[in-house]
Amino acid sequence: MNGMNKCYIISGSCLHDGEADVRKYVTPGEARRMCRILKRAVYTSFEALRQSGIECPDAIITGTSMGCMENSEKFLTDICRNGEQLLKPTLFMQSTHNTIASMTGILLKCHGYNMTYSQGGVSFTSALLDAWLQIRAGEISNALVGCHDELTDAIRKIRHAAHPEIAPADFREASAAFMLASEPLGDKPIELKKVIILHRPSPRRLEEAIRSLSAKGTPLSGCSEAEAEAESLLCASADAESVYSACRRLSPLPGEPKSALVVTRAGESVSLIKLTLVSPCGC
Amino acid sequence: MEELINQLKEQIIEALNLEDMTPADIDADAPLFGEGLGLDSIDALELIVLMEREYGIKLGNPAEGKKIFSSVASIADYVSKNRKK
Repeated sequence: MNGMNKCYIISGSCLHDGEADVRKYVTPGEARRMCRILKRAVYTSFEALRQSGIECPDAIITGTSMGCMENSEKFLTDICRNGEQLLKPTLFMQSTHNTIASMTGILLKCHGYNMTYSQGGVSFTSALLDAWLQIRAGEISNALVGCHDELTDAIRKIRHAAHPEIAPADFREASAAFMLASEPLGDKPIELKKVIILHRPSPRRLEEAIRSLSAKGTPLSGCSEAEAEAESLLCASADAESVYSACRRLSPLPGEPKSALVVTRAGESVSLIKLTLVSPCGC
Repeated sequence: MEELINQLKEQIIEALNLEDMTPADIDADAPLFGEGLGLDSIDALELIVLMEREYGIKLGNPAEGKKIFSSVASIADYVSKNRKK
């Protein structure tokens, strides 16, 4: 891997349940067609961009497990009720998974690489891996990487049926967006050292991977495996939310963690994301 | 006609998500596209669906649609003469 660029997380934003006030960043006219998930995605994306000082990213890479679920449900309900007639075009446009990344691209007038990953609970990690590889290879200098998911009443009921120990209202939805760059810009750049996705790893394979990434005494962030699994059940964007929380916990102050290994488990897949705070001397 | 105009204004506000607008904010004679409300092509599609769903009117001729959708008053005029429900 010699000669490859480094990749840094230079800013980030995260929002939980509820609607975001996007009027800070877009006009009422631009916002009026946006559903809840789009508003959260736009808010977190623009917030991460603002913090980074970069106006337009080289790439927009998004992870979403279920896309615009609320609009998808409305659109499918209309199909059933109206006999496949009189379908609302706005719902059609906003029921595809890549609506979120494309809407962000249109608002930013960003004509660069625009990609959406829908890989269940490792959607965000897949998007992060793409950005990490491209920045390290020098294909792009920076990227806006986000993860956005929403839960509807129907989805909450389905999840509750599968996990009766969790009340429907306790399932969380979240949006998180990060600016990644090849330079350690900003107040608190964090090097993204490694991104690994393991599918159906044996206990030994997983243990080896964790040991290889935490060889220098890196504290585990997020967890035991059981905690990681519980978290992924509770939150629709657990991997992105965990990375955001880990980034916030890293601190240059004495005694505070300088690196973290974020482990999230989703179904049969496990994400391993190694983060290291860049010291003030840049090393 | 006044009642139909008000009903159309409410339906347009709901169908096009014109947040923070009330029927009183919409001038029945003002242009809907370009100036005035500043609607776009996706809004035009929403209005076509609205006309069929609420009034049973199918618009097949795009040139005709441009004239009908020029203002709320022109829509009301067309609806009053062609409504099926």
